[in-house]
Amino acid sequence: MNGRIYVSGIGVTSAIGDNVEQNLESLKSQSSGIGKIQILNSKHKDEYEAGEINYTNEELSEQIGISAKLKIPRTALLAIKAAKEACESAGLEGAEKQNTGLIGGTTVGGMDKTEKHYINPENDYSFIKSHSCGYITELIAENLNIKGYISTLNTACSSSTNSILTGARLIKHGIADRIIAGGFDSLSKFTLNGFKTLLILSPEKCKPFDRNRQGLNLGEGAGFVVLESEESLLKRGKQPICELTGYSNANDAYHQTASSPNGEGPYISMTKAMKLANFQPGDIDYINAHGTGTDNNDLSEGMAFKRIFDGGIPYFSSTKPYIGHTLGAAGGIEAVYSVLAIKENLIFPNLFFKNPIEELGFSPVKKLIDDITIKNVMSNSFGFGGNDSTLIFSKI
Amino acid sequence: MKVYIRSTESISPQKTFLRNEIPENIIEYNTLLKNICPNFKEYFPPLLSRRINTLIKTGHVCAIETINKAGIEKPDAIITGSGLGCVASTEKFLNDMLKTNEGLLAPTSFIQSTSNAIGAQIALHYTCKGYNVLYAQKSLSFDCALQDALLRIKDNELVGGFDEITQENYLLKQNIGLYKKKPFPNLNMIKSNSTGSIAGEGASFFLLSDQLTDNNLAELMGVWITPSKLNNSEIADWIKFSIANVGLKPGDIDVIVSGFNGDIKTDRIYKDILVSGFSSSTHAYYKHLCGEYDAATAFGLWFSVMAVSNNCIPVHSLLSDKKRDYNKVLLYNQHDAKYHSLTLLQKPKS
Repeated sequence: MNGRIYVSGIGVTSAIGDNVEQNLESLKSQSSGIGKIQILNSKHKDEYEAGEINYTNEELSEQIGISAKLKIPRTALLAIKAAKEACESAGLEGAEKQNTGLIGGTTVGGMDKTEKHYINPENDYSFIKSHSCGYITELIAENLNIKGYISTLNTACSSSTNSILTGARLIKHGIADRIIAGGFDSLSKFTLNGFKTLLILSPEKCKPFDRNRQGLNLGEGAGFVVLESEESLLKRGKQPICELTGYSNANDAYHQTASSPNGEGPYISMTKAMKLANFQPGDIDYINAHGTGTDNNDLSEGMAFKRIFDGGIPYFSSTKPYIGHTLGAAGGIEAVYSVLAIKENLIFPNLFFKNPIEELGFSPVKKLIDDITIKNVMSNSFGFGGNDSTLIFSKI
Repeated sequence: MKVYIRSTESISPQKTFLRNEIPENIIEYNTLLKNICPNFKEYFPPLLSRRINTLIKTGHVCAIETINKAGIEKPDAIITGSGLGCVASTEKFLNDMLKTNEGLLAPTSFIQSTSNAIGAQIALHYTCKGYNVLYAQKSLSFDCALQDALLRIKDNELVGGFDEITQENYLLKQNIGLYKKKPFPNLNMIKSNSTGSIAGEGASFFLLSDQLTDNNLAELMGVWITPSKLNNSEIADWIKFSIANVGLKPGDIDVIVSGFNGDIKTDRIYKDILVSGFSSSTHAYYKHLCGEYDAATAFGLWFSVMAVSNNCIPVHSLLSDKKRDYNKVLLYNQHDAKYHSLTLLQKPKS
C-alpha cells in the first residue's frame, strides 16, 4: 500500500513542438508558440492569438498513421500523438503496453468535431459518439492497443492533474501497476467563445503574474506521463526518470468560476501535497504555476504562495506564455515540463513578465536558469468549480 | 476496512425521491423517461432557481437529502460520475453560438456546461474544501467514481452519478440507433426483441462511511471494472474471479441485479451468462424504471441498496425468484460486451 510512484515516460505535443525534444528546445530558447489563429475557423480568429498547433487534422492523422477519412476529433489526434510518445519513452510495447492503464483528462472531449457538424450533419452523425470525454480516451486505448484500466476525469482546467493523481492512487492501492495519465484538448469555437463571454481572453500575448496582465490565451495540445510502481519497473528492467512524491486535490468552495482572494483552495492543495511528500516549504526548488494571466487567478495563486512560503518564495514561473492555456491538457503538459525541469536541471522563464503585482511584491523567473540542481518541482492546476490540484515531482 | 453506505437518495423517472423503497407502481413512458423532479422552490430562492440549470439543481438537491439523512454536517469528499454532464446547457451555448455565427453570447450556459459544476455546487453549499473530482468515462462514469471512493481518501465521502436527457440529444442518439426507433413502453422492456435501448435520466447519491452505525443501509464489499471485450464465458469467469477476491462463489450471491436495457443485441449477454452461471440466485433488473443513460448504474446501486435494506424487490423488477433473503447483492452492467462493471453489497452486520 505504501509503494513509491515513479515516472518512467513522458510525451507531449503543443504549440511549441511535436514531441518532448522540440518542446524542450523551445522552452530553452524562450520561443513562444502563441500567435495568429490559422487552423480553427472561428469568426474571432483575428481578434485573439492562441497557442495553436500548426497542423491540419489531415496532417496530424498522417503523422500518427491514422486514415484521415475516419475524421476523428482533433483532440483525439493530439492525444494519440502524445500518448504514443509517452509509451515509446517508457519503452512500453507488446504485452507490457497492453497491460497498462490509461487515464485521460479533458474539458470538452470531441467538441471540435461536434461544432462542425451539429447544425448541419450532412449524413455524418459520427460526432454524436465522439463527443463524450470518455470516448477520446477509448480511441487512444484502441489505437495504441492498451487494454488495462481506463477512465477519464473532467474537472475543467485541472482535469489532467487529477488524472495523474488518480493514476498514482490506483497504483498505490494495487489496482494497477502502470498507468499512462495525462490530458488533451484542442482549440474549439465553443471554448474560445466561452472564455470570450467571461471577458478573460487577453488581446495580446499573456503575461502571468504581471501587474498589467490582461487575461489568458487559449492553447491546445496533449501531455502524458507514464506512472509506474517499483515492482513493475524492476520486472521490466527500466530506469525511472523521476518520482511523483506528492499530489493533492482540494476545493476552494468559493465561487463557480472565480478563485478566492486569499487563495484558500490553492493553499490547501499545495500544503496537502507537501505533507504527503513529507516536505517543508524550503524543499521546493521550483513551482510550475497555474498562472493563466487572468487578474483573478494570478493574484489568488500568488497569495497562496505568500501564505505558504513566508520564508522565501521559491523560483516559480508559468509556462502558459509559451503554449497558452490548454485547459484539460494543461496539467499533463505542465507535468511533462516539470519532469523536464528535474531531468535537465532547468527552470523555464515566465515570458513577457515585466512588473510584479503590487499586493504580492515578488516576481517569477524571468531568464532561463541552468546552473542549479533541481530536486523537487511543484506543478499547480486550478479549474472552474474551485478545483485545485497539485503534483510534486522529485529527483531520485 | 469495511465501507458502508449510510444513506442514499435518488431522483429518477419514478417516485423514488425521499421514498426509501423501490416503488410498487411503475410510471409508464413510451419514449424518453424523464425525472420526476422535486419542487426546487423548496430548496432555492426563485431567482437563483431560474438561473441554475436543471441537472445542477437535481444533483444538488439529491446530495442535500442524502447528507441530511446521513445525519452529518457535511461530506469530507465529493466524488461524482457523469457521461455527458450538463447536456442542456451545452446544447444551449452550442446552438446560440452556431446560430448567431459566434455573435454576442451570455456566459451562463457556458459556465454551467461544465460537468463538474454539480460537485462544485455541492462543495460551495457545504464549504467542503476536500477532495472533489468528476469521472466522465461513458457507461463506467459512476463505477469509476465508486471505485475511487473505495480507496478511502476521506471519512465521509459523498458519491453521486447523474445524467440528463434532452429532446434534442434523444433525437440525435435515436438517429444513430442507440435508442429504439419507435415508441416503446418501458414496462415491456424485458420483452423487447428490437435493437436500441430506452432513453432515461437520473441522479443518485450515496454517503459512504467506514463507521459502523445502526443505520447503515449496506456494506459495500467491492467494485470491479474491466474495459475488455469479453465473450460470454469470459464474462462469467471474470465475475467469478472478481467475487472470489472477497471469498465468495456464485452460490453465495442472493440476487443479481443486471443492466438489461431492452437492446436485444446485448441483453442476451445478461440472460446467457447470469442465468447459466448463477442459476441459484434471484435475478432482477432496473432500467425499465430509469431508462438507459451513462450513469444509470448509480440508479442500479440505489435499487440494490433498497433491496438489501428492505429485503424487498417488487415483482415488476424480478426476472426469476429463488425466494432467498437479499443479503448479498451483485450489480452487473456492461456496454457493447466491453466496459463491464460489478458492485457487491451485503446487509451490514450490526
